[in-house]
Amino acid sequence: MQIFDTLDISATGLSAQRRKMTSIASNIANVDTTRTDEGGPYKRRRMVMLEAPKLAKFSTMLEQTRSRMMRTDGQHMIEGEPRPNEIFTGSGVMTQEVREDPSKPRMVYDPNHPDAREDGYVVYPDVNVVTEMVDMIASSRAYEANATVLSAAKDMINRSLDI
Amino acid sequence: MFLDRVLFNKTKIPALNAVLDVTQLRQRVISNNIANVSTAGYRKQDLRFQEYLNSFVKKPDVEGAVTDPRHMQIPSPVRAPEVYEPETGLNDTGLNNVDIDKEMTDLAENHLHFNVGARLISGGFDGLRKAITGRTG
Repeated sequence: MQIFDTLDISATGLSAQRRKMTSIASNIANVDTTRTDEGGPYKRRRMVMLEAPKLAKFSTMLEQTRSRMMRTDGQHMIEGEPRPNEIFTGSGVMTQEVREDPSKPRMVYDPNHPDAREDGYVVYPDVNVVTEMVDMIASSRAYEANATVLSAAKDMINRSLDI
Repeated sequence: MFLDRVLFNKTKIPALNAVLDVTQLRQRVISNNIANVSTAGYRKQDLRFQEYLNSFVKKPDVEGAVTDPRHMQIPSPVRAPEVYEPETGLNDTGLNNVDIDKEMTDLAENHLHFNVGARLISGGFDGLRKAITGRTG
């Protein structure tokens, strides 16, 4: 139903920010990880946000196609403009995970480390804790904004039940 | 239907119905902007609806009757509200042009508009009900 679409849009925003938060947590937790299943140090995870494709939901498309009127005669009236609740807007946001190759891994000289290279250096992941913290704050603010929108939408739906 | 016409269409209800429709749509547009606040390259959307709402309260100066299929409609039919992408510069993050403060303000404003519409329309129905039953309360 159209009225609940706004909740869906905010939900995509909330879950995208939550996924971003998960990747930040994973980056900070793995700041010193030198061994991974793929071998080598941990690679920084990054969530890239994408605008969700502006495709209408199947139910919306079906409804529109079904209610479209045919003009089989010149005297038929032209169908009016779509009603406001049939106008399609975007459908929120999606995320994509990117695992970057460390551009400049952190090298620490520690010959006694079990993962040290022959020259005595240990390759640590390219995770900058300060960057992660800043991203975390931005992400949590964006989450709050989406939560505010969600509660406004909920309030509107509730109020329309009182009409 | 005749009853529909006297009971509802001649009252403020159609206009308020349009207000509720438009504010619901605007809520979707704003929530989409806010969901995409950290999407790189996203272009914010906005809704053009003033003309549509005005058409419900302002009667046209001249109204032409359509008695032949070849007649044009006078005044020309009102355009439905339209979603467009305003041309604004990038915001401070440089990722996109969503200004979060403006979006939150628009959200609050839109929410109030909806509340006004909902309260007035329920007042309208109350009035009709009173007129039908002839009793108050």
